[in-house]
Amino acid sequence: MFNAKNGFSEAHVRGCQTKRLTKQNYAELSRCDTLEDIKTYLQTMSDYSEYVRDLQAPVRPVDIIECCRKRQIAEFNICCQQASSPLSNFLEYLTYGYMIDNLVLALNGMLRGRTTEAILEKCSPIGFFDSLSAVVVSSSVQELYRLALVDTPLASYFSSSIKAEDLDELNIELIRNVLYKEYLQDFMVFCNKMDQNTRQLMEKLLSMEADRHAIRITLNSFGTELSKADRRNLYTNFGTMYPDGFARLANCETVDEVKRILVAYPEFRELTKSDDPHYIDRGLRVLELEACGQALDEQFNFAIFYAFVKFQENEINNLMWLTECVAQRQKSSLGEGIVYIQ
Amino acid sequence: MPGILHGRSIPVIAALWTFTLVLLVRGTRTEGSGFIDWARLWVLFTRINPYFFSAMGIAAAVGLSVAGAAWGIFITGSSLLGAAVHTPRITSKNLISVIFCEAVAIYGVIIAIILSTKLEYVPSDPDTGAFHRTTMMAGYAVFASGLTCGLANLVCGICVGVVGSSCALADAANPTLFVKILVIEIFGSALGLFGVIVAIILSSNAVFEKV
Repeated sequence: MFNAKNGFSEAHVRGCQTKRLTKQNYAELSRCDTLEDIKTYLQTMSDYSEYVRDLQAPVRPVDIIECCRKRQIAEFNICCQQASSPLSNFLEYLTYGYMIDNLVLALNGMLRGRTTEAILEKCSPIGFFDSLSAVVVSSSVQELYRLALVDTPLASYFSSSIKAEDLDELNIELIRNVLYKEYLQDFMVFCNKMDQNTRQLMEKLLSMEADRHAIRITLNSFGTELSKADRRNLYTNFGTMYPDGFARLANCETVDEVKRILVAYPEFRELTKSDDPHYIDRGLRVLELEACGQALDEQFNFAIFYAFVKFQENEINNLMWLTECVAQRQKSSLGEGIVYIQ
Repeated sequence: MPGILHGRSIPVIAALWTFTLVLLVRGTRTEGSGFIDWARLWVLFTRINPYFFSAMGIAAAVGLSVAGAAWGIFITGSSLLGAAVHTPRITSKNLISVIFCEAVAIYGVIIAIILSTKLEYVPSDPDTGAFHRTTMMAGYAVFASGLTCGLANLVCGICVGVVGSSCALADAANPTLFVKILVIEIFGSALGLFGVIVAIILSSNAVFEKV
């Protein structure tokens, strides 16, 4: 019965998926020397042609990314328009993650004194919400909640656990992580009510996301004033490493200690093989994409929509890295930030 | 289905089963004084008109087959439409999946026609109102053959539909996969034919004749 409601959206998602940039595309894009070259390449050789066609000459990295975002939201909206409950609820949950990202982006932009337009321009359209512009005028956490978030789905994630007062950089990071933790847990509860196929696949994907969340928090918290108990509170209540691995992660103080924990888990063993600090992060992205690729191998479930959004996001991140590298003339570091699977 | 076997419904289902079981056992054990009067039920059952069974058989043959075919077509069709948005070339090729599903309905119609030609008027015994045993047997045979064909075609239709939907998606991603998946689809649609063959053999024993 799945297909009666969701067959069209599923096939649409798969259609979009076949038009992602491939290994060859990335190899050829890496050879471009200017942003104009990249634009021309995207226009002639990829599915972005109708979005980048109208870009005027001098091309900025922001412009290209905006075009990518336009395509992303166009593809996503077709799904939303076709979806009925429970798929529509599932897709809404997917947007909450982007809402959190947008919120943090807006708060950081506000701290650096950017204008409202400049901030809104950078936000991802998938996670756009009406009161986003109110975020930039709020001066304390309470005000942020009252002005911007109370009518959004994020309100329920926000209310319980945030006690901080001021909006400084550490608190913003804290808000992001608390919201994201609550979001993941809520999403997990929601997925547990779905059919068996979706439940199994989403459990795997969300567990991986939860692990990634925890590892990132741990790595980023070294050298900050975040206490170990607070750090422990930011971890989710599920995940492949839950509960033992998370408890040990909370006590880590160096990267080497984190690696020693990760070695115990077969899926993360690969991550510990290099000394490069970015290697773990990049490895986690690859692992996530591989898991998403596996989700796409199955039919008649919702996890493919999750995987699809992750692939979209990854492609945008890749192009962002690529355009920035080209714009700043640092092509030597090109390979580090581009992640793809076959 | 997993939703039914979840959480609070398990004790309810268990209680229902226990109740039914107790009812059956008590009814069977004590002859005459149980909850269920089996002898009387048996008489009731044998007096059901064989034409009723025949009609139900024909209805099952065509009804279940069409349900299976329709199910298959909407599984295939929705995937086909979605995939065709991005790769329009697959539409005409993948119509063959829809035709496979349609064939399942045609099997059902053929069996229904064969079965309905078997029906002839045979009067019942004017004294007791009972039908002769060959007539009763013919009624059961037509019923069984219709049910066989209907159920076989129902699941065959779903099978072909699921494979057909995968076929459309695979073809959109990689055209060389089309023929390979088509072979699987043909095997799937052969399942319905088994049901048809058994139904024809079953119904060949059914003869409504005057004695």
